[in-house]
Amino acid sequence: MRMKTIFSFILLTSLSCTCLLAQQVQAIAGPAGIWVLAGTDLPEGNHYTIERRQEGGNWTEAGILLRPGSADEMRARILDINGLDIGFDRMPGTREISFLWKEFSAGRRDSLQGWAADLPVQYALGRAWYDANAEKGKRYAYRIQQTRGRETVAGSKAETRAVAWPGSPANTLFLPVGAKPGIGGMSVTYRIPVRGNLARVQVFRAYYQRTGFQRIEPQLIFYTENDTLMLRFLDQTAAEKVPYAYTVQAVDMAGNAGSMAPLVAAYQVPAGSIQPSVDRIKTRSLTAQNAIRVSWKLKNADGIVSIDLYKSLIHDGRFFRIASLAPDDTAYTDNDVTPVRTYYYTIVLNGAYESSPPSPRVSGMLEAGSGNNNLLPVQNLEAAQQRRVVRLSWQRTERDTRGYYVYRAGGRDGEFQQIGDILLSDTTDLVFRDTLPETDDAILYRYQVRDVNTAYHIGPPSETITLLVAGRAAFPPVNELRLEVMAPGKILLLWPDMTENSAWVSRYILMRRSDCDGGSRKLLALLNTDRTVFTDSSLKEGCTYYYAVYSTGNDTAVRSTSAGEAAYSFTEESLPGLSDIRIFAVDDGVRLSWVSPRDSRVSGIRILRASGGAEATQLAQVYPSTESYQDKTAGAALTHFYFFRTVDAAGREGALQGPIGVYRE
Amino acid sequence: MLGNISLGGGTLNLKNVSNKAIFLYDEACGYDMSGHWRLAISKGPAGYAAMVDGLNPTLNGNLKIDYIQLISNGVDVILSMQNQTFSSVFGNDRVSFEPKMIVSGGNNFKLVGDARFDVPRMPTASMALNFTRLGTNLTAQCEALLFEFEARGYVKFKGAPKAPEINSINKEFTIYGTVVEPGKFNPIPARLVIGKKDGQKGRVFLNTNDIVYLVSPGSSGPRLQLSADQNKNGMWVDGADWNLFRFSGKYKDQTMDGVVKSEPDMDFMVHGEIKASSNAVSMNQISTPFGELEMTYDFGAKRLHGLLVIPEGTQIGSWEVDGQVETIIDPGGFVVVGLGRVNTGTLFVEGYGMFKIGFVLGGYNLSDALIKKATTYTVNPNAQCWLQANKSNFKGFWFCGANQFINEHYDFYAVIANAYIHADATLEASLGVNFNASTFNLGLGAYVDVRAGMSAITGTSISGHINASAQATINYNKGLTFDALGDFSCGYKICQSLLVDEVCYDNTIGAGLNFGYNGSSTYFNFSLGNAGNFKGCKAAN
Repeated sequence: MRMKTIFSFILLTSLSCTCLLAQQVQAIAGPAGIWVLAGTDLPEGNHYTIERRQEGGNWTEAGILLRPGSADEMRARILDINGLDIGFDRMPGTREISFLWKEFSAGRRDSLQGWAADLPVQYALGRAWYDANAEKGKRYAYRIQQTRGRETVAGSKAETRAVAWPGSPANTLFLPVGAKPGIGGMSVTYRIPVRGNLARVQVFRAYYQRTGFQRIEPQLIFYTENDTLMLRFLDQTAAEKVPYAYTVQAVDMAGNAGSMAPLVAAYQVPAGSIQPSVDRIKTRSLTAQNAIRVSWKLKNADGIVSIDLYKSLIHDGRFFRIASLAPDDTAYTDNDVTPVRTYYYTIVLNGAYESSPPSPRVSGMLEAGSGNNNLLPVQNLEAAQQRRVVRLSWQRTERDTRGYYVYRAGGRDGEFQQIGDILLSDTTDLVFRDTLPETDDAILYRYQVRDVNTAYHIGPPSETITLLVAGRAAFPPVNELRLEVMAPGKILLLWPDMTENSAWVSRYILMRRSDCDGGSRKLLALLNTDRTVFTDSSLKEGCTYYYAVYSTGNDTAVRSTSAGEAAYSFTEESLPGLSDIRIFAVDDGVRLSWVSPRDSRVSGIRILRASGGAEATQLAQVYPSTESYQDKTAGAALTHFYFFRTVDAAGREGALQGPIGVYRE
Repeated sequence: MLGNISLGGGTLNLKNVSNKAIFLYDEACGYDMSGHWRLAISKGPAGYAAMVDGLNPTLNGNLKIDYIQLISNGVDVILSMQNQTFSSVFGNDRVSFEPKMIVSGGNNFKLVGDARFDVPRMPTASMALNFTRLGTNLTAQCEALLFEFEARGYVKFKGAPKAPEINSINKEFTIYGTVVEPGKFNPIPARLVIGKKDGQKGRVFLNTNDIVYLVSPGSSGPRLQLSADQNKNGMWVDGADWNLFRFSGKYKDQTMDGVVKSEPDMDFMVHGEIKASSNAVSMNQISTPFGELEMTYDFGAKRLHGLLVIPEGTQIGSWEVDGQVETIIDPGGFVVVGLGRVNTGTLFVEGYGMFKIGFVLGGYNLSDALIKKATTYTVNPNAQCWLQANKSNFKGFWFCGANQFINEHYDFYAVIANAYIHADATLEASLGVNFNASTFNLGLGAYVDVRAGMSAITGTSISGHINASAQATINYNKGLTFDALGDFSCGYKICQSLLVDEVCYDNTIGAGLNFGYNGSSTYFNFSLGNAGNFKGCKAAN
């Protein structure tokens, strides 16, 4: 170990120009104190006296330098310095100290070669002094004077510049070149484009991709290549097939360390000594286990330390390592997969000091199967209804839901039928609107929902939800609307109780329109079913009014169809007309029916007929108490048009009503 | 008593008409909300307003009408259906029909309602049956069924606006449409056949020889011509559900012309994602067919990518190649690229013939990334020259491998001196053919690099190197060319430390040799000093 140190020192010295000049005194700041160099000339019988002065202060005696008396004394002095823990921990070997003592004793002071820059050796030789008592950050200058006995040698006094510790970090620049496994260890190379004040190099090592660098003391060798200083060292303690990371640190003559150099990872070294890739990489869907099995073959596992398996969702995307496997593994089961989704896998072989290129990317997919069944029904199925529109909502229960099917059944025992295609949605809360068909009858509807997972499995049915829809027949038309004139400008409307026809009827809508009011129908009254009469006295003279009644329920948007209107003209001269006129072709002619106005002025009703394109002629006149007429003279295979007109006792006629056509076969 | 009501010019005779009728003048009714006479007939004691019979064999029963409204404008005719379901349509008991509305025309009438098919995942579809009377008989035709449903594998069948055909013998419904998985493959014309309960459960057929475009429809890019093998085309109800949709046929791509011996058969299976496979792809100039080809179809990227196995012993010329490589098929063509092994037999010395290779094969515009991957194992800086020269519209194959048969590093440490010796020696071979440009390339090379250094305790350091390479390239491009390149360099440096200074001596000797035949004449060049004069890619011949 000591030889390694010496050797590196020799090299450094030989390649560096940071050398001491004879008799040149110098103060150098170290990491914890100040070194004072007295030069290389120390004549026999002399010693040096060293004085110190803090900047702005007075000179005081600080120490003396004496030449060593023996090689053992040199060794003791080096031990003293190393014990101060000031950045020196190397001890020259017995052979080196003997060599130095021999050269020094013989007066060959310049043949110390690389040791000339080793301050502990200089200290041992009595040519350097270490000031351990200087205060940190304060600047000190030193004065050195040659002394013979008690006399000071005239003209021998020399003074250093003032310095303060700690000194500046070593300013050497290292650039990594690489690392290669060689016989006997790992050989690491750095380029040193900026040498700076490099005096020593410390080497550190860690396991690749781990923290905790430890200092090692490998063999160091410096050489030049293309005029650039190179550093190479051999780590003989590197274990085979273990990836390492190395860094180096420059230390200057006074023990000031520089920053750590960039890492060299043995792992990164390209070589090509291992297989280029695995063979026969394949995937297989394991539906029973909800997994994908990746398998491969390796023709030759020589030199392979581990196998890394990477995975990505995108073929050209980023791959993530999902497993690091032993070299003899040939398969891996990936459980972190979703059915019917493509994953891509690739494999990297790791050698002791290299990695293979990624293998071809193989795709894998967990296919739909019994292993990824859909077991839970959707939950909290609810329905809200507005007329024929039903709003269903429910909640998702499965992790990999892709969509839903909605089923509907008509009636209590009807079969559930799928409504529409799949509803694609994977959200947690779902809403679906269904429009029910228009029907006459009230119908019970039932709904169920099933989810579909990404493996296309349709889950069990949800709970059943039931709705009752009132059909169109729930609100029968109000057929017999009668109008009676109570007095001019005041009429009474009457209609039958429709609750006897349908239990759904709970209200009536009474509409009115007038030619004096734009002609559009307007709501006149909304009445409960306990009212089947209505008195309208809000009439204006000179206007004609038309009334219609609809049966309805709580939701007035759903109502019966119109069964016809009753009309009233509010004029002094005019007579009211008929209402609820019905005409049917029957076997023996045409049957007419109507509702006569309840107006005492009306004394008769005239019935007119036009057939086969002829002018209308009066067919009959009946009393108002008569509300039907059988036209037995209506010919067959003709369309007959009928007209009606009321008359009073004076022969004045009301408005002509008609024509109303009917075809008689 | 009401009777003899007929609609559709006498096509539709209403029978057993209810007496519960009103006839009145409605001031606001009809589509124009004007005054018209209106006849309304409601359900009578029989439970319906009227009925229509004689619908067999189209529908197995009589049609009951709940409500009839006729308006004197001659346009608005409403016949409201009762809730009734016919369990057989055109004699097919796997199809049921629930009429909702009758539309009366001039000489026909139409029943519109919900059709249900006893086929998994099929929804209720709107069906219109158009009746016309020929003499005393009613004939009916089913209008197009515009429904869609999703089967397994997210595949949708969409009905086309074309009337289905009903086989008069076996009563099968044939519904025309397309099969598609949106964003995964282009729509494929198809027909859904639904037989009776004792017949075909439901099966989607594809049309033999139809073209399925794997990129844009109508493009000249990769496409498939469907085969006649029904087991490899379509989907069908298997048990209680559909099986997976698949399609298969001859893979056609003009970029493959001249590269593959015959168009490969390719099978696609739609799981949602789409898998494709092919086996025994045979390439020109390569006597052994490749192994199975497994691919994934990425419709969004318009690309098929997968793996191709090159079985052990695959012959390329006199060399044997094996490995597993990636394939890419897209509008730019197809390419196979990867790493494998080649056994060149005895090369210089017996035993050095097993090389690791980079591999590129196909018809494609080669990117720099592909070229880089194919040249993974080469140490020859000029190895990519031929690929670079042929990368546009490349159609053929190229592989290059190297065998580093010396890779020795020695470091010596002693008290008085340290030394190191590093020696690398590599043999390399490449072979390429570009059918498009009718060129081929055969390259052989040998490379040696030895470095050594020593430092002594006396402050002396010595370092030196020897670097030599030899390459031979045979090119054919409308004529045979041969190019040989050799270079040699040797350098040393000796330094002596003098404590305060350092004295160094160094020198480098280099030599380069380049000779060959350029198709019309020979050339010979030799240089001393810097062998790099002959390095770098030459212009393509």
